[in-house]
Amino acid sequence: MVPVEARSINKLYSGARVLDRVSVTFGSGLLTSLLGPSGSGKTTLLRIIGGFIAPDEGEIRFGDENVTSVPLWKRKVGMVFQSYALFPHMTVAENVAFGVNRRGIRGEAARKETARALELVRLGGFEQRKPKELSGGQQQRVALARAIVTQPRVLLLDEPLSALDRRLRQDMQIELRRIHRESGLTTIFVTHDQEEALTLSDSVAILDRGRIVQEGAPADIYERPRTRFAASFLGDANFFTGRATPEGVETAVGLLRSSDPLPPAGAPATIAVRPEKLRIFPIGAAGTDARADNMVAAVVVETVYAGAVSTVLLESADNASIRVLTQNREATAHAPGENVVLSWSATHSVVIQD
Amino acid sequence: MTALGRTYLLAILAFLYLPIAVMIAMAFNNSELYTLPIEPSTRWFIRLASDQPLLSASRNSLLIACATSIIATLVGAMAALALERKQFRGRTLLRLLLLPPIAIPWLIIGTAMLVFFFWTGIGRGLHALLIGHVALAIPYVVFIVGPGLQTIRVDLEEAAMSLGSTPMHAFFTVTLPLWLPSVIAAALFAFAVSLDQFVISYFLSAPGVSTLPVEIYSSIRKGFTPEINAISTIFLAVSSVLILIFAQLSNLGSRRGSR
Repeated sequence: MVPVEARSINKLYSGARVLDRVSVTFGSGLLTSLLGPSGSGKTTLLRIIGGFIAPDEGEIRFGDENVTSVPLWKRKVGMVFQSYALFPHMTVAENVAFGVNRRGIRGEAARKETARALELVRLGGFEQRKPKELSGGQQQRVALARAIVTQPRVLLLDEPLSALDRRLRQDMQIELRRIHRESGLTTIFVTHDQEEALTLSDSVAILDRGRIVQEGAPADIYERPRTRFAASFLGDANFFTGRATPEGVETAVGLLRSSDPLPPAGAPATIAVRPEKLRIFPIGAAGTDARADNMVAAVVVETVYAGAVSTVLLESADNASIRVLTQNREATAHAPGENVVLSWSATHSVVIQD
Repeated sequence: MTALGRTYLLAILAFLYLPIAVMIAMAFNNSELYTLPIEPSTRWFIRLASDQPLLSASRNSLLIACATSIIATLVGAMAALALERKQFRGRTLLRLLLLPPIAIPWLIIGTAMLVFFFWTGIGRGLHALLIGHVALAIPYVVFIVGPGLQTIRVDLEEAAMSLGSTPMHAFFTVTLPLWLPSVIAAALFAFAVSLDQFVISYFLSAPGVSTLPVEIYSSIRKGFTPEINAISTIFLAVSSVLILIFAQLSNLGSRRGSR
């Protein structure tokens, strides 16, 4: 397996900049998600890596090889399309064998490789079916088998789960992880679903308006988002803006401490806090949380019950809304109008770029 | 509804088929004067075998229809590929320009062609007939195969190419098999357009070199003979067989696709 690298890729579509000097490395054998809202350029980047479209500027490298000018049919990539793009006039076996035959393998050897790929996606016995006779999830597996069977240098997945319903999508996520583990392919997965990116990938690259905003392991990005966009697109966050001081950030709700390096004193600064990092105490009881570096007074607006967890919506003194995610370990509902104190540790105050 | 509906359907079918049935019956009738009862006979078919002008016109008609069908389908299908799949300047204009020839009366097209062919020295005769018919059939072909192509997703070819197919191989193994039913339909339509064509053929025929409709027209002017029923019956049989073949082909195609 080889790593895949995009080097300062630029792409314009009728004057509009779709990709703006995008540089990103997809680790060898890893499953990396390209996460972004629609129009962020994630599919364009995927198609440039695959060779379906050419970049205006920049380079695509597979390991040491510059493949920018290698045509699609010689680039040896495996692609799973959003629509699956199965050949409707061919059987499942013919679809999967297509790429095998193209590599010059025919007859019994081709049949064996096809069978092994179908076994990998757990579709043994479906060889003679036509794509139309399969469910969406099964078509998805055929598309995956067809892409993997040629042992591509990189496997590209363009929102492959978006057409499936929720339950099937969750099953396929687990399946995808297993198939990725067993095939060991360098895999790039385009999605706009943050949960999918978090649960599925070894690494995530967040795209916003044609730029890579942040890349890293899902937990690293989640715990230490670098920008407001990254913080709110991957997960949920409360934002407090103010000015930096040597001790922390002076905001409308008071001085907030952070273990992050701070901007120079006097500069504008924003702190992001994940909703589950906040703890709620009845007023006066806050002293019981000795470790609390940050304390903010708030009023409960509403509690939204969701089984295992509840989302408590609150309002701070300056009328800013705050969300807190609480685990329902005990039946302590917070009634609207209740005055509470929110507390959290300095390590959970993430200083971000606005 | 059923009784009334059935009567209505029968009336339509009678309206469509009665004249043709009468023609076929008369082709096999011994009498020259269309008298009843019908006396079965093949004498008009035998007479036809020695009617040189009618036979040579039939041969011309079939030859031109076949050639028109092949050339117009090839050219039209390639034009449709460019119009549907390629981005180029003037694409919309080109597509629009394909419409008028279908609406312009044949009389005007025929006159224009005659004038143009004389002016350029192409003149009249078989070659002129062929050029005229091909030009006439191309727009129909484009309009039949174009929508067929639209239903075939472009990412199928992309998938094939990502699996190692050259663009040419991807087209022939993926797009063409899926496109074939509408291409065959267009070929048969072009064949029919050519075989049926009278007005333009009348203008472009040279003395002694004409197509069957033109020949039938001139012999009717001399006097109607049952031989014309006989040749018409033969052409009817040929067209019917072609349509049945097509129905079978497209039926098989859709059944294969849906299984």
